[in-house]
Amino acid sequence: MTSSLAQIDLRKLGIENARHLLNRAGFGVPRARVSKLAEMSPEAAVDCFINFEQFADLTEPPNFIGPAVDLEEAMQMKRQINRSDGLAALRDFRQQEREKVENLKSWWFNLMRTTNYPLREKMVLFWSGHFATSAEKVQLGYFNYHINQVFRDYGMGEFGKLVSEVGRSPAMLRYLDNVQNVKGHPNENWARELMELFTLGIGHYTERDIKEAARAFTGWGVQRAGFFFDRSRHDTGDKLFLGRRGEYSGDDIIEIIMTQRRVCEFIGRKLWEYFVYENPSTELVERIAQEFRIHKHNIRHILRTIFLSKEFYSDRAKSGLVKSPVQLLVKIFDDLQIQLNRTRGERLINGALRAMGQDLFYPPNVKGWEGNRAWINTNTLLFRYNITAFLVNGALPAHQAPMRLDAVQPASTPQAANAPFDVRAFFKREVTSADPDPLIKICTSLVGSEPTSEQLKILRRTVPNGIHSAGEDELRSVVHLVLSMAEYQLC
Amino acid sequence: MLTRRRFIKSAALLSACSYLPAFLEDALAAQDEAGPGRILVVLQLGGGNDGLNTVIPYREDQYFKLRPKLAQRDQSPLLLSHDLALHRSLRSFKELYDQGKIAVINGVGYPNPDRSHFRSMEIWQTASDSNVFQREGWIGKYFDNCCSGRAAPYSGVNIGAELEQVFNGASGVGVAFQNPGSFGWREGHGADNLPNFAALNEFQRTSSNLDFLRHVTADILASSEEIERASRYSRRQADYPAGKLGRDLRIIADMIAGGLQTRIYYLSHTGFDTHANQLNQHDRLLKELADGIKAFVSDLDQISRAKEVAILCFSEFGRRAEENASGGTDHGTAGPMFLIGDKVKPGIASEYPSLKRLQDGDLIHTVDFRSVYAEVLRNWLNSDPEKVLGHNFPALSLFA
Repeated sequence: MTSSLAQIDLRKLGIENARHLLNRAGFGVPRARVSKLAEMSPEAAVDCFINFEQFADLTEPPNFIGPAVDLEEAMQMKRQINRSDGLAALRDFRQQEREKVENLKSWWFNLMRTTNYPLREKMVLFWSGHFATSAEKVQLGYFNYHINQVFRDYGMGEFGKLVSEVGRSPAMLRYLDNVQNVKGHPNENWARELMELFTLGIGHYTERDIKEAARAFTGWGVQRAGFFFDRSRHDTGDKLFLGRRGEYSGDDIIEIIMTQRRVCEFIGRKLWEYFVYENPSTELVERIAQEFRIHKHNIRHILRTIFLSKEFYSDRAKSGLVKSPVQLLVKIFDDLQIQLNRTRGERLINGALRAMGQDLFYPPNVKGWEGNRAWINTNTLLFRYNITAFLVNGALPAHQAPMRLDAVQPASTPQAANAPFDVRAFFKREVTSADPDPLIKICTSLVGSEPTSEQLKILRRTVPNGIHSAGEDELRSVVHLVLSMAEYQLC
Repeated sequence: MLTRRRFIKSAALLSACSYLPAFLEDALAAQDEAGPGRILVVLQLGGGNDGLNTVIPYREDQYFKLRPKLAQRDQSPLLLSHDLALHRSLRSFKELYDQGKIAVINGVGYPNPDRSHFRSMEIWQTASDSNVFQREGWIGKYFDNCCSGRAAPYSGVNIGAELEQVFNGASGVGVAFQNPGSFGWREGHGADNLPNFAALNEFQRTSSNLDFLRHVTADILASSEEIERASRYSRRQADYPAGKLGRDLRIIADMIAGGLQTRIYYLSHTGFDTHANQLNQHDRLLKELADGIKAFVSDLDQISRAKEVAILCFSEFGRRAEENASGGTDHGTAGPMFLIGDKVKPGIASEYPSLKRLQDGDLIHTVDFRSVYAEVLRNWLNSDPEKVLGHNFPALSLFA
């Protein structure tokens, strides 16, 4: 067990470390980037992720959503509610907003897949689980986009600032009911989760602290499409919070929380478990916390320290975290250069992420997504294998098609014509005449490590006459089998 | 499809040592406390079933006052007791009730009720207090605590595309499928890689993520094979009503007949969120429910397995006492549960909530749903409810 964050000492990162860095600080894509990172020093390589602004921002905001559009429709809806057809209009409105969220899911997934800022997007995903809100309850599409953008704009900066922006976002104000938290009728939901789930963890505050904090946040609400502080509903009285006394406002509460040493351990540990490995030693967490404190809760700084540490490149760290459903799909798309018809493809991806347990904008509850092994049960793992089969093979024989995928590809279509995966192009790209054993080559490229002799023996059974004389079905078969190795589920 | 024999054979041929994959050993060894002949079917009515119109206090003036449009009048053929009657669409339930096969549990809910579908269903599935968030489901915890040895993953079966949260637990029990044939590894045209896939996923018993993944894969393969084997058992087809519920119940009966060693089945019947124009919709749903259950019980009788099965039916909340302005009802609180089976103690098991003492227009529960779970855990599944639910709940007697 180590307790050190000492920096790794290497002249060049090397292929294995570069792949590991790309898998963790990013989504493991594009694979071609590994060799370039391998040639850099650790500082230079990590710098690419940390100081991402040096690269062009390819992010396009979604054009189907925005405060003006959504707000107008929401206002219209409210006016109609009391009329006799109010219920039908409400249903239509809800349906429309649900569709916006479906489109937002696709927008976000494509962003993660193609971004020039992988670490920023990896952090957006992290924060969206940490500061969980759900479109199940927050039905307005725009509010879901807004908080997603808050994670993008503030997620790599100072933690206290992020908390303050999240606390002001309409999605959070609605989700944790702070819109109902008013003078004389406090609602403690936000105050409680702010401390229990977002900053301190159970045992580091009292029920009284929650009550007092709730009073301080009274008046924080939503008006038009944004944050609005209603002074008339704010409890201006004296509050006693974490041992301090004053006429605190919500911002004061956040500031006082940020002075607690505990915040650094709490967030530090979560970051380590997300990026490196589970159950770090207490001593290591203390070191991380120390760094976080020294750098005044700056996320960018602590991430840099983590990615440059020797421990990040240890065997334990490299032994693999289970890929999130998003990362698995992003990786398959990149590895196989998948081409999907746009609309059907988006529905397929949204459905697949949901079936694998990561329904974007719909975390299972306020605790977000647990991750790692929690992604895996017989059903979600089977779905991972079967979605892979679908992407590799295109349409599957009708009786075999998994339920959700039937709608995307008509089962009677000949495979090759509509296959999202061009297997011959794949082999042309991946295998050159310089490769003594094409099977070892593609296995290593896709999985990240050479197959054992046992694994190789099994894989060879799919192409008994070798890869060069294999037919298309056999080639798909071998790729499918390689991607069905448990190793491919890890990153 | 890969047979167990073929699977073991290929595994043995390909591995250096020829041991039985661990999961098979565990599954063969696992003895759970329930013993043979105790199957639980949990039927979830999704959307919030209007309990007041399901089990009806037909003598109460308040009932008619609160529901001028929706009140069910003329219940005489479906009387359960002096004061209560069943909705007229539940004729099949009345028959089962008269045969002594139904326990009606009135007023089931929990303190500080939540009226969000999502949250309330989560509370019912995790058996948590309403202000506590838990990831594990009560059935997941049952499997974690009930067995000496590791239960086979298909010990819990969810008819549906996704595994419900109710199965979340450490031991990974629970498989979900909409059709028995759909739970399996897919491959492309002409491929025959199942043995190779199985061989690649041989695992050692380390605690690494790699072995964990391979172990779950082995669970998938074993479950897939067992489910397929059970579905191939041919038998005389019983009559079920048209619709999804009938189909799902038939699948469960097929699995039982086919010998799938499943302890708990879970399925859903949805559409109960009747905010507007409730009458026809609710009529239809209740009829489907009762007719489906009756067909299921009858089917089980035919294969002489009826004594082994208990069916527990619930909804995430009832609906408000007063009807709304759209011919429907809004989210409420307490509602009835039904426990159906040869071994249940028939009759009315608990007090109907008072219509005169409402809380903010909602019924006050007379039974905590955890008491019902506890009774089922203790007296049907022979397990310790406190281990599963965390603490004790007031006792309720539901089995003869």
